[in-house]
Amino acid sequence: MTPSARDVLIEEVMRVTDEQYPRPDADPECVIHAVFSQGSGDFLGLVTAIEIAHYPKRIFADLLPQRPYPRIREDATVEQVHRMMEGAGRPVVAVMNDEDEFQGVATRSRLLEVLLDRHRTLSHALQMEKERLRRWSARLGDLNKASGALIGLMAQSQSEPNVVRKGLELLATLIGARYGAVGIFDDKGALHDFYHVGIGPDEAERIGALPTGKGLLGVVVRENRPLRLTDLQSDPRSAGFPPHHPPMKTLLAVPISDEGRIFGRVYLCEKSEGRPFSKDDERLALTYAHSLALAIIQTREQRQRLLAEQRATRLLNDNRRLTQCLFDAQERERRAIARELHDELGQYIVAMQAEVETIRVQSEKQNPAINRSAEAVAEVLTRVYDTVHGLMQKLRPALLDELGLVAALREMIGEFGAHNPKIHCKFTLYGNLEELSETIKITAYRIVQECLNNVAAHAGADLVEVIVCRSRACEKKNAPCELFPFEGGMESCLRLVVEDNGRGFSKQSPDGGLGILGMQERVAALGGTYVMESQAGQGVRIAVNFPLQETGEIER
Amino acid sequence: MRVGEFKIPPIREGLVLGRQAPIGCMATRRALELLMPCPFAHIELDDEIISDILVREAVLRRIPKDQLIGFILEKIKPLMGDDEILHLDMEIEVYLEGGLE
Repeated sequence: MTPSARDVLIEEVMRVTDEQYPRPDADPECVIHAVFSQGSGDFLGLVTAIEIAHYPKRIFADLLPQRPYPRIREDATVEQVHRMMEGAGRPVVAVMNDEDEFQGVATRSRLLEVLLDRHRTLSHALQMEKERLRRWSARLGDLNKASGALIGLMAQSQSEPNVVRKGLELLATLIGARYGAVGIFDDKGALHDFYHVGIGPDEAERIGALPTGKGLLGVVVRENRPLRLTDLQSDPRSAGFPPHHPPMKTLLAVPISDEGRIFGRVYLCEKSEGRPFSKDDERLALTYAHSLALAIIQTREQRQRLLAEQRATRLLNDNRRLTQCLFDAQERERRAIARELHDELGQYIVAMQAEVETIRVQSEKQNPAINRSAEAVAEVLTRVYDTVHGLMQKLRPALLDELGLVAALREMIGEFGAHNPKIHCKFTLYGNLEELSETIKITAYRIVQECLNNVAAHAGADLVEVIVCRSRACEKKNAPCELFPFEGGMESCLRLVVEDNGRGFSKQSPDGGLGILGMQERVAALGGTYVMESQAGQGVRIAVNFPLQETGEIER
Repeated sequence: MRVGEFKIPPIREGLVLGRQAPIGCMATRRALELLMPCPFAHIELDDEIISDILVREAVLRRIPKDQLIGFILEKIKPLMGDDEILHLDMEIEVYLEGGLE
């Protein structure tokens, strides 16, 4: 509060009448005389020692200045007093009350003295505040470090007990408490877990059962607000300690909560050096307890997310296995049908061709009509055989089983060229495909087969390129990476690209995509990646990546 | 030794007070008020030698104030020190012209 004129009054003022003579010898300490009228008693003005020194033998009436002496109200600020002194050119001002009665004298030296004292007081207060802020800032820095350590712990561990226990240790260190405990409640508010620091395992064993929430712990739970006690044993709500429990006097308890949801309580006992817990301790503990609540939420959410992810991964793997089983069964069925066609229908056709040939030879001279019929039947049988053979190839390419994936692909591409003479088909191979598993071989074959069918049916292209690359993790350089739109390095994998220069399409995926869906399912069943890129007028590019183990098996 | 009668009033027309006179104007005025029933006028001067003139108000009815100040500064000031108090004895005659109807 700014000092006023009444705060800068001096004590060394002598009241005299205007008809009195100065007595410097009698009043050596008095430097200011307040002069009042002998008759009326009204205040007339002030006379200083300097004025007396000039006319030591005159009465005060003759020593009063000819100009009216400056006067100011007692509630005027020191700034106003100073301005009046400056304006009047006098270092002395008479201070009056609201009734214009003389109250005292303010001098410049006293004013400066008061201001100096005030400056010293304010400087001291400022220094104290600065020191308090420095200490608080240091404690906030410690809080920040503790919170950072808690976050670091959350990144390392999804275990709620680990996070809570370590969080409690950090909080006890931060506040300077010898003992600390955390009670975690279940959904119904009952004590579910209890963690403590400061009491060793042997001591804890001697104490026996963990607290059940009676006494002060129960009070903190019920009232759900911070509690600070300087002597918890003298509190009437205290239920005392069990045998072998170390003596505890000071207590600070705060709730662990976030947005009204309460997870538990933190209890801290025995602040270092026997001091009581302060309001600042309470604020820090509350802030940190809130961080602990967020950590618990995060840990529980992480745990739930992890479980959900594990369930989803299991379901996905089950789905992939089922899909692969379906494809395996389909392949087995196709192979059986192909074998049946070859072993049964093929043999019948060959037998029929032999019989027809016999008829044709025997009727060549005797019965020209039958001969012509035999030749026609032979031609039909040849076409039937070719058709059956082609069907067999589609159902199960014999070369895939006999000579491997490369030969089968080359045969497929050769037949594609034969049936689509206007489309030039280019085949490029990197690496060795022979060590691949049966599953991946047939999958790769079926994908290339589906791609070429699509090119022939829909693309309107005159060029299609098939690139197959088997890379191993140990091979630094194999196929150019830009050929394959996959992230990551050249780990052990099988990659396919089928690219045409046809009309392409502008949508995310073309219509009527049963074949494409089948390819995607085949790739997903093997844990692979499928990418299709296309723009209108710029062809289609389908790329597939199968992760492999070094043995060529699919990575599951 | 000379013994004489204290004349009442001790001064006739007025006093001229030096700036460093041991008795100030206020004290002198009060003394005059006690000793003499006639009122005195106080003229304050801004001068290095003379600080005040106390003069019977009746004098100022016959002599303009400015002429009196001028006369004192011209004729008396050279004769006095700033620590003195001089009393004024003035013989003032006023000549009047005109007739009675």
